[in-house]
This record gives sequence, structure tokens and C-alpha cells, in this order.
Amino acid sequence: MSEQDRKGSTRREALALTAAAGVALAPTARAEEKSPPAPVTSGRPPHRFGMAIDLDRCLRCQACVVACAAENNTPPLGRQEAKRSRPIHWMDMLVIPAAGGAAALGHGALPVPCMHCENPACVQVCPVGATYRADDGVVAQIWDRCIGCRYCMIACPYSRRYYNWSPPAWPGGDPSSVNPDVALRPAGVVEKCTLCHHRIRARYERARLDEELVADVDLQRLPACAATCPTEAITFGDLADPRSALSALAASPRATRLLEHLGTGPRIFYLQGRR
Amino acid sequence: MASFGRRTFLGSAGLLASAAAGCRPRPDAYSIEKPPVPVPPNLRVGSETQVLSTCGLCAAGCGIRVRVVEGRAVKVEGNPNSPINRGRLCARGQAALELLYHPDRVPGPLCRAGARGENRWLPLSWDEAIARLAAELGQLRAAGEPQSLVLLDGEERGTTHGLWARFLRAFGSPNHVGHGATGTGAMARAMAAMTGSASLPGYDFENARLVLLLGTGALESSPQAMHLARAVARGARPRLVCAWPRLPPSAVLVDEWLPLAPNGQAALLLALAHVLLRESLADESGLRGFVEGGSRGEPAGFASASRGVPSREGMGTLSGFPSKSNQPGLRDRLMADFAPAQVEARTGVPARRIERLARELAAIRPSLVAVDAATSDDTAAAAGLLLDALLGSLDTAGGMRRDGGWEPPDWGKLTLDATAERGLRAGAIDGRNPARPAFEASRILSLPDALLAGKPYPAKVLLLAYSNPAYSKPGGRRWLDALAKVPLVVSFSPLLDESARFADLVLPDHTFLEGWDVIAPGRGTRVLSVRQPAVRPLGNSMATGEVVLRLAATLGGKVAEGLPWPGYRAAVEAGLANLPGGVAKVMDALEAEGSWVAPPGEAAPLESRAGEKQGLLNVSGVLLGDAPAAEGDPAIWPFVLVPFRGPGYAEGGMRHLPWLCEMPLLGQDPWQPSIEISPLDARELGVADGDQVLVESSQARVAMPARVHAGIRAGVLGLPLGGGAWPVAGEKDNPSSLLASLADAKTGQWFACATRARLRKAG
Repeated sequence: MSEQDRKGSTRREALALTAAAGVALAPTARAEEKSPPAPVTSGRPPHRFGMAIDLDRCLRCQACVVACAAENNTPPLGRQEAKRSRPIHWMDMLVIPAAGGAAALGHGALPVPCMHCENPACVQVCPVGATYRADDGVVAQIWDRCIGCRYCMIACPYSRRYYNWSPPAWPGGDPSSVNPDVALRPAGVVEKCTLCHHRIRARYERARLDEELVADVDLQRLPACAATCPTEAITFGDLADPRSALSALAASPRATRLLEHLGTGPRIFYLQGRR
Repeated sequence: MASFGRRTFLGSAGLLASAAAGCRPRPDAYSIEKPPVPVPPNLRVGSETQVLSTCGLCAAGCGIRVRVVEGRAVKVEGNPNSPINRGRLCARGQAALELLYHPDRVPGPLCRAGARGENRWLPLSWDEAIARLAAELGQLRAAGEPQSLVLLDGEERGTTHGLWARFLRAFGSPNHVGHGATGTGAMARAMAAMTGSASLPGYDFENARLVLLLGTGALESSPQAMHLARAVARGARPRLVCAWPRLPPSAVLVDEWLPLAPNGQAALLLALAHVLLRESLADESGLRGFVEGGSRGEPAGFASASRGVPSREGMGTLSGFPSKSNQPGLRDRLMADFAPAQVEARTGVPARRIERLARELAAIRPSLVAVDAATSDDTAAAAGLLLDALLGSLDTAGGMRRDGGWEPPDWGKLTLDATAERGLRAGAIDGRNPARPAFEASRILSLPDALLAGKPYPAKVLLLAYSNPAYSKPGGRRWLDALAKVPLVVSFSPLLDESARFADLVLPDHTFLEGWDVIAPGRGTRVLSVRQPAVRPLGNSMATGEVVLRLAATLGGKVAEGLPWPGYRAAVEAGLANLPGGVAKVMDALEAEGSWVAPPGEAAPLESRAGEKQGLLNVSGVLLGDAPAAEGDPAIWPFVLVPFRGPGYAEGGMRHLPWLCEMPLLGQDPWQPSIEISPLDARELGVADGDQVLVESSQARVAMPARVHAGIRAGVLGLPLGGGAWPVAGEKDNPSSLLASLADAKTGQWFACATRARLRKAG
């Protein structure tokens, strides 16, 4: 008992110390980031994973929203929490307030995952290094390292981060349907879309064991949202591969990105406008 | 540090702690009391499989692939082999695991312990439960009144449905009542009468170039939605014109919206037919075979409540044959009464627009008219098929398609005993047309009155399979009264819903992730899809088909002889025996791939199915009329309710699946369904988006948030179905309790868009 107390307090102290240090060191850290890190060449080519969402195909059916929740163990929070706007949707439907007639034809909503920015604001403000940009371009987060300060939520111009106000709980307390590949997040930490990083890793690991290369077609519907989309409006892929379907879509004149002028370099491309 | 690691420290601490407590040392210092997730017995740690199966949350029959880890189903994906959904899945299918692991699952057979609706139960074994029900049913037969058994069956096809039908016949009850009268019944009758097909139409969105949608099911939750989505995925999107009072958010696909008046469906379609005929744009060569249906016996009673019924002989034919009597023929009636200018007021669509649309339909071929089966009345369903025939779009690429390659199970002839014959002669309790007592003609909406009045005879046993009428049917409160009137109510629901709480016996079915079955999705497809258990049944549930067989065996006599199979699987395989290639080959394919497609060329041509004459469309079934104007005084009730099934709608509601309740596009308070109102009406009433309003109809008053929606016609309120509170609460929270049960007097078909209502800002 007493030992546990001791351990707990030590951890808390250590966290506080790290947090203080993180805040103090932040400017230095930012200065270092100005020079781009050396390309990662640990035997595999660097990736820049991203996604394209075709708004002319998207039905706003929200299958991606539920698929994401099922894959990534984000349980429903219930009515009370929903009223406080606390539900967690890594893949969300952003409702755009009705503006004239456009809303009538359903343009008032779009699916928004994390933008996985080239220059992510959330990473720059994290005092403890809990969130970082992985070498494959995914803006990832180490849940255990998060201290719940929520700086990142304020920094993110797309509001793509969610705070866990309560521990994860499944209806009736039965967590049987949890996906063993994705860690549960405790109360008090921030969480976000990982582009189904566990699926990407598993795919590349299988390719490594089979001694084959991962082709673009293996990637296109890899994340849970893209896998379920009934109209195949979501295309996942590697922007570092110039022959990928995603690279072609990103270069299309139909492609736009959200809040591009902020310089965040989002890697989610929205396609709109008939050819 | 290295010599005293964390493990050694913990281990010695554990030893010290147990020694200090004076207990025996724990066998394993790392053991935990129980695993964080329950692991079923006899399962290898880390084992992982993918189970091919079929989704059961709507009738589309999408193939699914369930990822099972250590005996737990952890994710549902689409099965890429399924030609229906080709690996994709909608929001409902993604939420299926919440149904499987639902906390309110019925653990096993239950017998009522308290008063009805009190929700106090005693568990009993399956043997006891079946023996008890069989004893009650046996008494009905012994008393010579087998007709007092009533079955409310929510499935329209499939083996369990077929077994119920056969069981009831052998038992002697004519009361196999379906939900068609509040759903697809009108379309099923129109298809049967006009094309001789027992199926619902499928639409080839992939090859069509112009589609007129009547209703929004294909954009939201109907089984057609996946077909349309797949056409979009293939980049073959037709030009979409949607004629309906309300557009859903998914209307982003719709190229043009005609804000139709709530009861203008049939008038619009018939005016389009008028223009096609007047301007000689119709493909009349394809209509040469049109015959008078009078020669083919009694057609389904297509009729309207508002107009008189011209004699059948007087209908004439479309191909210009003179009618036999002096009464005007169909063509004459179309030309006389359905000029676009004449229906302008009824439909709310300008005459010029109707004319232009007719010309577009004729010019941009292949074109098709898709009437939403869930919301159509008889005239609209028939008029839609008529238009498709005029456009030359029956059973063609880019047109309306019938099923092929699969027939309902044929288990051979059934011999009836005298009791059964007497019972069947009594006629159905719901007042359906005695000349056509088929399941499709059943009238669920007249059932509460029949049960309450005990006329034409009292019902003694009511079985509820896939049915929760107290929640989902219009006039919900009357249903509870009617259930109270029946001495024995049995529910087969896997969850304790509103109706199951009023039951005396609950015999829980599996969820679709636990049972085995073969599904024929139909709707223009030629597919069979297997349903395999992804996990062992979590509780002590039993497939309802199995229960039917055991009931029959317990009853004995001719009933048992009529259903002789040892188990459900044997019955399924016996029903598939006529398939090309034999049942064994099909079963192998089903188990390996999850789905099987009938080889091409098996479907009978329209002519031979429709009858002995070369009848393409039995047009005499079509009666020119219209749904009646909504009931009530518009001065008191200025709005008309247009119910809709949102993208998360599942039969019986989506309210028990929290993931679907929390979808972000459902409004500001996603857990509470909101009523949709046009910006014009909202301004007039001073209602802002998200305001609490009181909606009142002749049936109920419900408080709910308002949603100002530009995609809705003024004077119309969009009413979401499937919402409300879970666990079960009173009808106060149930928006569908607002709907009145107004039905076509001739066919019993519900007029979905005919309830009037008023709305005001809540206090």
C-alpha cells in the first residue's frame, strides 16, 4: 500500500518536473526544429502518408465515423456528455452552419480526420513531447506521456484533438468488442486520429515477412474509414510515391486543403468540383 | 541498479506482503484476479480468425467479414466477395457489435413474473418454454379454433419466414401478418400484379443515365442505398432528380430537387406518363403485350380511398385497344385527368417542369423511375412500374430489375388435417381481401382494432417475431391496449423492447452475429449470402427457426409431418435443393466466399411469369387515384408530417446502438431526434435552430429540438423514425407516436405522409 503511494507521488513529481522543464525548454526545442531533421533512412524509404476525400462522392452517411470508433476503441459517451460536446470522433462530420441554399443540398457537412500536417501546431506546443510527427508523416501521440494540459487542442486550427473527460467505458461495462491492436486511453489525456497507424504497421510488417513490397493498391483502403466508405470517397496513400493514386488526386485541380494559408501543410486533400 | 531490477523488487515485495499477511505465497506474483476482457473458455490465447457472414441490420444483405480475436468479435468489415457491397459497409453495419454485446440482451427464455409491463421475469429452460407454448397451442387446436393464433412477422422472406408460413398453414391459422402495410407491401403487390414477380424491384443505378427518385430511401437507409453508393463508387453516377418533400443531408448527390407536395407522388408519376403518351415519347412497342388483367383473375386491390373504383373491365389498355365497356380506359383517363397543368396544385411541381422532366426521361436513356418501396402507396408503386415500362426500362441494363435465380423455398406439398382446414377457412383476422389471402396483403394496421374488439374472432395467442409494434407502428398506444387483450403474448426479441415487456413469454432469438442462415437479398440481385456464427451465442438464445421446428415436433400429427426436418440447417438445405448445381456445391461456395451468385439466364422472361397471355404489365391493377389529402383541418394542424429513416435507422429503432445515437450529423443534441422545419416556417414561428419545440398531432404531443433545414418544403415537418429513449420509456419520448394509422381502405396500406401536426416553441 504505502509503496504504491510512494510510487504514485514520485511519478507525479517527476511529471511536474518534466512539464516545467518542457515549458522552459520549449523555445529551444522550436529553434531546433527550424532546421529540418535528416531524412530517415533506416533501411526503408521515407513515407508521407496522407488521404484524399472526394466530397462529390461523399454521402455524409457517417459510416467512416462509426468505423473509426469501432476500430480505435472510442466508446460512446452517452447523452449527458454529448450535450457538453464531449463525444470523441477522430473522424468527425464537421457541420458548416447553413449559408443560403447550399445547405439544402447537403454541402453543409464534411468528414474531417486529423490533417496530419507537415508542420503541426500541436506538436510545437506539447510541453512533454507526447505528440510528435513520425518519420512516415503521421502525427502520432503517446497516450501515456500526455499530461492532459490540452495546449495541443487550443493550438490545432482544425480542432482535431479530443480530451478524455472520463475513463473509457462500454455499454453495460462489457469491453468485449475492444480491438486489441489499439491501446485504450485513460481519463485525462488527449487523443487523436492516428491514420490507423496500427494497420499501416501491420501491413508493412507482413510485407517484410513475405519479402514483398507494399503496392499502392494495398494502401488505398487501409484505414478503417477508407475501408468502409460505401462510395470509396476516401483514398489513403503515400505522397512520397509519385505514382500513387493519392499523389495523382493531390495534384488534381479539384484538390483543396483546409486553412492552407496557415502554413500547417495539411496532408488531407478534399476534392470538389466536377471535372 | 542492474542487480536489483524492478521485477525482483516487486517479487520480493509481493513475498513480503503475503508473508506479512500470514497467507500461503501466491502461486504467481503476476496473476490478476480476472482478465480485463472476458475470454470464452477453450480458446487459444492470441487466436484470430475472420468469419464471413451477412449483415442483419437491414434487408440489403451486405456481406460482412467479422474479425474474431480469442472468441471475441472485435470488428466488422465488408466482405469483398459480396456483389452487394463489395467490401464496404454503412454506419449500421459498423455498429453491429453494440447489438451483439448489448447490456440488455435477454439471457435466455423468460416467463413473466409480475404484472404485464412490470419487467419482472423468471428464467426457464428451453424445454420448459417450448413445452409450455406447445401446450397452449395444442389447446387451441383441441378446441377447434386454431385461427386464434396470430403471428406478427417482421421478416418478408427467408427460411425462418417460410417455416412460419408453413407452420401456420399446417396448424390452421390464416393469420400470418407482416409489416408490409407500413412498408414495402404496396410495391410487393404492384410487382406481383404487374410483372408476376414475387420480388421487390431492384434498380440498376450503375448503368442508368437519369434516375427519378420518388422518396429518399436510396439516399439514406433503404437497402437501395448501398446499390446507389456502389454505383457512385464505380464512378458511374446517374443524373439524379429527387421528387420528395424533404431532402436528407446525403442529397449532395442529387442534381435536382422537386419539392413535391406530401401526397403528390402518384399524380406526378401519372402526369409524366401523360406527357410521354401525348408527345409519343413512350416506348409503346414494348407495351404491345399489355393485356387486360380481368382475364387473369382477381388482381390485388389497387384502389384509392378518394376515388371510386371503375369496373375492372373498363380499364382499357395502354396500347390503344378499345376498352370493352363505355367506361374510359387507362389511357383515356391518363389523357383526361393527368395533364401536368391539372396536377400542378396537387404536386406542387410546375407543369412546365413536369413536361421538361418527361422529355428528359425520354431523351436521356437508359432512364428509370425508382419509387421508394418503404413510403409509397399502391397507386404510386404501380405508377412507377408503369413509367418504367413506358421508358422501356423493365429488366434492362440501366432499368428496373427483378430478382432471378432464386425462388422462395419449396418444401413440397403440405397435407392439412381437418382442424387446419377449418381454421384456414375462418379467414384472416386483419380483414385482408379473402380472395388474395397472401402474406403481402396482410393489414397490420387493422390488427389493434381486431384484437381489441375480438372480431371477427378473439385472438388467444400472439407471437411477435422481429416485431415491436408498440414502438414502431403508428398508433403505438393502441398497440399496448391490444397486447393487453390477448391472453398469451410471446416475443422472440433478443432485446427487451416495448412489446417484449408486455409479453408473457420471451424466447430470445440469436443476434445475426451468432446464428446460421442463408439469405437471399433479392431486389434485383441474383445473390445468396451465408450467415455464420462469428461467436458462440453469448446467452442461452435459440434461432427462431429452430423453435418453430421444435414446436411443430412437440405438437405432433400433421403439423410435425409438415415440418419434418431435424434442425434449421436441414430445413434451409431442403429449401435450396432446386438450385442449379445442387445444394452441396452452393453450400461449398457459400462457406468459402460468403456469397454465391446464380448463373445468368435463369430468370424467366416477364411474359411467361405474368400469365398465360403475353401480358407484360397487368395494367388493370393500376387504379388512377391519389393518396387522400392529409386528415384534419389545416387551419388547426397547418403542417404535414413526413417521416424518414435516417442513415442509422435499423428496424425497431437505432436508439439501442449508442454509436449510431452519437453520430455527429444528427443535430445539436444527437441523442435526441430533432424535428426538421423549413427556414420559412421557422422564421414565421420564431423558431431557431436547436430550440425546443412541442410537436402535436391528433395522436400525441412530443417535445423535441427543432432543426431548421433548407432541404424541406414549407408546410412540412421532417419526422425522424427510429429515435427515442433506450432503455424503454413511455411514448412521450417516441417521435413515431405522433403518426396516425391512416390506411388505404382497399388495401390496408399506410399513408405515411398524411398525418397533420402543429408546432410551437416550448414554454
